[in-house]
Amino acid sequence: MTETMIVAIFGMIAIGVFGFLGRRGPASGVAEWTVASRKFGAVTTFFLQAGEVFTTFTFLGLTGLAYATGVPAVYALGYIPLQYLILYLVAPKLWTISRDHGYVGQPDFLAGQYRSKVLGCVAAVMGFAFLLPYLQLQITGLGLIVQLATGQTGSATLSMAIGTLLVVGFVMWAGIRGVAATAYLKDILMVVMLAITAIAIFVHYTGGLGRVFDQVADQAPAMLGLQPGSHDIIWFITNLGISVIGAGFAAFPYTWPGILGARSARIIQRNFIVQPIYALCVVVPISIGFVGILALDKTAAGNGNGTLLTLARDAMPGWLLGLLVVAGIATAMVPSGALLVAMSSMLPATSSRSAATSSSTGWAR
Amino acid sequence: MKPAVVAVVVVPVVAVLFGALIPAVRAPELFLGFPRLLVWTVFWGIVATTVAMLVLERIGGAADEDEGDGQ
Repeated sequence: MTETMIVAIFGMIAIGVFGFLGRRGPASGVAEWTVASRKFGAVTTFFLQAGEVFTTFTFLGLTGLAYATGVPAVYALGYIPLQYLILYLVAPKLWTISRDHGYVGQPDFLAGQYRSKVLGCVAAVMGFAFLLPYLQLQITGLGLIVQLATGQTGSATLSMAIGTLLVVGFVMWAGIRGVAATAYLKDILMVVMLAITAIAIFVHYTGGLGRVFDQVADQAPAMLGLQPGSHDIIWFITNLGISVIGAGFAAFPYTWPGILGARSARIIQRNFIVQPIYALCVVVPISIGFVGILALDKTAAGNGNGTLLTLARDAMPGWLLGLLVVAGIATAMVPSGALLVAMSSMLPATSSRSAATSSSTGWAR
Repeated sequence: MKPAVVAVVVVPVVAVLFGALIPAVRAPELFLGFPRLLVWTVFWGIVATTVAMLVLERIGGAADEDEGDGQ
């Protein structure tokens, strides 16, 4: 077992322990388990909502997209802030209505507001059906991170099994509070490791960030603009538009616990004002993707998802690579936990309305 | 919703969504050392969006201060 794998396993266990420690006694009902009885302050709400943005897609997928297609990857830098601008107006209304009626999730909200249990059930079933692949994506992403870093196929299976057990465990034990506790660790770790990795990769391969794009302009100038093909202007605008509409109008059920868990509507709004600045971190994985264009041949990083870790493997010592792997694992485990909570919060909509506010459900006891 | 609120929201949304239609923005060239589309998206997506929300705070987009202060 390599030192990278050892650090990765210890990191996964540490993330799990943080999740278990997030619990504040037995949950008194679904509302406590899914939205912490709407008691989260500004800092926790910030990390919960930031945690929904920085997933394995940001870590691996966005770097791979920049490596494979170039500048179209910046669409993420557009839709993430725009969703906050729209949510700034929409989310307070969702929060207020949900507080007044005791809603704990999107299907619950739809069933109550439109007085249609059928609509709630449809939203819950659709949510389940389409969140399951997203959950699977996070877990397989976790395995891919470990496999790419260690070079061992077996390590992927082992890490996926450990990661899944830990996430299911701390979510059942602590609910949204467990996700919030791990979100702190995840974002701090991710920002620190992204900064270290970026410096290591830029210095090792190009001599600094300032030289990355100059060298791309010399060697692969087409990557700096939108070109005809699969990732053209139409792709860019429609991808951006769909993402803004979906995220901005809270169509994604997994964003609801982060909104409904806040202590007040003002906390949510103030949080959204700061979030776009935090989204600037997305420039880092995109820039690393451009380094991949310069440093990797087209077969080295497979479909592109391995770009970041392939570059990091040659630019960092094993133990530091292990910490990067832990940060990557955290971007899989924390959103997975949030997805599990969101999927669970759909259950009240499929039963009776009173279930949402009942204190006798016995969840997470 | 007030017209001023709508205007403040629409400007950055339109700029980010449709900026790529401007040939100078999508051109494969650098501006200040970065791809032009990246600079455009960061300016309108991050800087202008943040400013827009700060403006909304002043012109009435903010929820009531006492709107939910815990349970």
